[in-house]
Amino acid sequence: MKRYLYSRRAQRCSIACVAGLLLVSASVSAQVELSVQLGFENRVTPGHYAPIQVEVRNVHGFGAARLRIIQLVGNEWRGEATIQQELGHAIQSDGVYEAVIPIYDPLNPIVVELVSSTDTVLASTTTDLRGTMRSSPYPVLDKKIARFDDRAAVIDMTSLPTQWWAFDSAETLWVASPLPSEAWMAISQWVLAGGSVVLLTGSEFYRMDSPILRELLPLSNPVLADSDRGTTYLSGSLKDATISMLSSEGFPLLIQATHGAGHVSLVTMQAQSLSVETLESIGEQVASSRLITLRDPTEYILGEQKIVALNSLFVLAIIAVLALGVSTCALIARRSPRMAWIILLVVVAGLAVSSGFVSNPTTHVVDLYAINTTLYVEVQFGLSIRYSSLYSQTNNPFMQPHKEGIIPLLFLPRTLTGMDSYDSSTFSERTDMRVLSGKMRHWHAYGAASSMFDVRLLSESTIRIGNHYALDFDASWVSIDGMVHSIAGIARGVHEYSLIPESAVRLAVFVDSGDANELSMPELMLIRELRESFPLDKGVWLIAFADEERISARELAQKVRDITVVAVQGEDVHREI
Amino acid sequence: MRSDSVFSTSSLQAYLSLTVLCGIALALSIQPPLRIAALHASDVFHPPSLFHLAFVLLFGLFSVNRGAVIAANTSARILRLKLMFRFLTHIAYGLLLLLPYFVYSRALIPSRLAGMFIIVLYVAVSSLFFCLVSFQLDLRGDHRKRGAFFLRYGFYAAFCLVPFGIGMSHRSLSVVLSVSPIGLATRIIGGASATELVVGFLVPSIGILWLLTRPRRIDRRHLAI
Repeated sequence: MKRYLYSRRAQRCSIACVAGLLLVSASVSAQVELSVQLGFENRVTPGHYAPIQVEVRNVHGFGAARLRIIQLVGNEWRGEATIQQELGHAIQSDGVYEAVIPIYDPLNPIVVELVSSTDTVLASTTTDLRGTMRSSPYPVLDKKIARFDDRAAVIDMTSLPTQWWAFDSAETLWVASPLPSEAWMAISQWVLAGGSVVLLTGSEFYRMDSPILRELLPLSNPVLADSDRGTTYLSGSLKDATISMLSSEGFPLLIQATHGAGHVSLVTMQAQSLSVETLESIGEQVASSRLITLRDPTEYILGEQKIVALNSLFVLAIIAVLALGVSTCALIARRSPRMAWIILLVVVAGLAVSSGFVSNPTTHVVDLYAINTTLYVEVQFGLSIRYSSLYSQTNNPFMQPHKEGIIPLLFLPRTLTGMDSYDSSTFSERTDMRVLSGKMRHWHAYGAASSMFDVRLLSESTIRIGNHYALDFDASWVSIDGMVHSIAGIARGVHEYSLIPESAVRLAVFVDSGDANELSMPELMLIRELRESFPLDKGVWLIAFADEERISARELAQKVRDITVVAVQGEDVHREI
Repeated sequence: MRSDSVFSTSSLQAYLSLTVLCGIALALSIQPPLRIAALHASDVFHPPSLFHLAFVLLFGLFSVNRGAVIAANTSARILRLKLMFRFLTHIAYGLLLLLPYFVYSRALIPSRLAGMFIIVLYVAVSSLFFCLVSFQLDLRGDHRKRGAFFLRYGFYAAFCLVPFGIGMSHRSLSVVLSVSPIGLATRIIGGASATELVVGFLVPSIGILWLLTRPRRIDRRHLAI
């Protein structure tokens, strides 16, 4: 009987142990896991954007979670700042979540957290990129290309990001594989903004062929040809390109052209046929990417902004009137003190009321000055680049609104010590920050945009402009082969505008004698910047400006100036006919 | 006309000085309409709270002066209510003259509009205290005008500076800062805590109550009369 009881107990104990183990294993399996891929082959560059892929596993039992990235910048000697970024994804299931984030200081570990709606950290992982970080942009190579540069990242082109600013840290992007249209579009936008792509084609051309690739190619009517020794290469008529390198067999090996603000380099042979030495010499001749920056003009425009201040002369006038009033009342009071009191009350009340009108805080108090310069470029596809410069007159925190899903890149100085704080938190549509009174701050963000304009030159004196951008433009110009025609303004919708060929001026003259053309300072600065980046003297270009100033009072009184500049390449229907 | 009346010639000087000096402080508090680049590059500091600090300090000095003037023209046996009325007339007149400045200065520190009202209230309370102290010190002066002068203004300087110095000496003593008019005005502009406000208002209020309720000691000057 006893033995039976012992065996029953042992049975129960073993069942309890198994149940306990199962429970423990169930709780272990329920743990959320994160794995992070940052940059191309984990290469990142400080002060540049980088793609991020976060794989989330074992998601269950909680509502929409968010991904938060915490970057520590600096050290005790240099000063420290903590920058938090929340990716816009609502995470409810397992999957790979992609975004593009600014990288500030990869010398410090980057923490990625999965946060619940109640701000509880569900999972966290730390990425150490010290071994793979690059101090400056690096080449990004298709895995079909031999690694000819130690700095280069070699990647599988099927996982190419679709947001063009993900290539911000790429010095050059080498493509030798067929790509989906989204990836081609991202590459095209990046090149338009100043990127540099190297297309390795040869016998692979027809597999890679796409409308966007045709637009990028420095050749028109591309066809495959064979050399005398039987090497297949891509041939065609040169668009507006230069042959930078000939092959040993006499056909052009490297053809380069500009596209927007960037460069397209065509290698006419397929990647596998090229030796490391040839790739090295091609790499030496390929231009590096240099994205358009509006930081200098934006900072300059902010610097030229005048501070809204009370009038000191009015105070002197109050002093004079009060002194006169007090003295007069003292004289009157000798005869009639009551009359003196009445006069004094009237004078003081009058001065107080007029002071109230003159010093209205809604128009005279500005805690923050902001200049937002947005450049919208459209050449087949649209993209936007926004630079913002801020000047604070308060120590209070404030928020900067921006497009959903965009994470702005803040400019951080080398030294982060002192009273000023460089901490910031970016959420879906805003970034919270604090800037010490009397200090400036700068940030920029990139974005993609669908086509908003339709510009067609109908005749020598007529242009049709379809404006679907959410703005009326105060001033605009049309450049036709380097001759600038002024148009008063562009309203929303489709309208035809008359051009007077006799009043057109050369682009160089137009930019150099800005005052004579009644260009405002921001217009002149930004047109000069555009001229340096885009071939405005070739083909039809529309340049339009909108300049809006407003005082907004959210949590702080802000004087915001939104400057939008548009550069659109148009079609010359007239000549094509 | 009584020489301690608000419209008397001696009062005129005091009021004119108060008006002009506070006006200059207000004008200096205003930021010049510079370009942001020039402002950012320069190290010129334009404290918007200068007016508020100058107002608190100058009104304190003005109150000490008024207390002495009233003491010189009043019997020690004057009814306390009447005495208070005289002090309050001067304080009200001074604050009335500065009303246009207060209205104009609301755009200097807009986030602290309530602070402006608290400062004015504090100035009214502390001024009454300084008037009473000055009055009492002048009555005890035994005709030694110079001694009474130094005693009055020395007390005012000590009241402003000693708690300020103690409060600044260590973080744990920062509450003492609120006893000083300079300290309290600075704290109110920066956002004072309830404790700091209580301490700041409590000291002059207790002083007023003590001076008004304590038994009077009539000095020999008045006995002789």
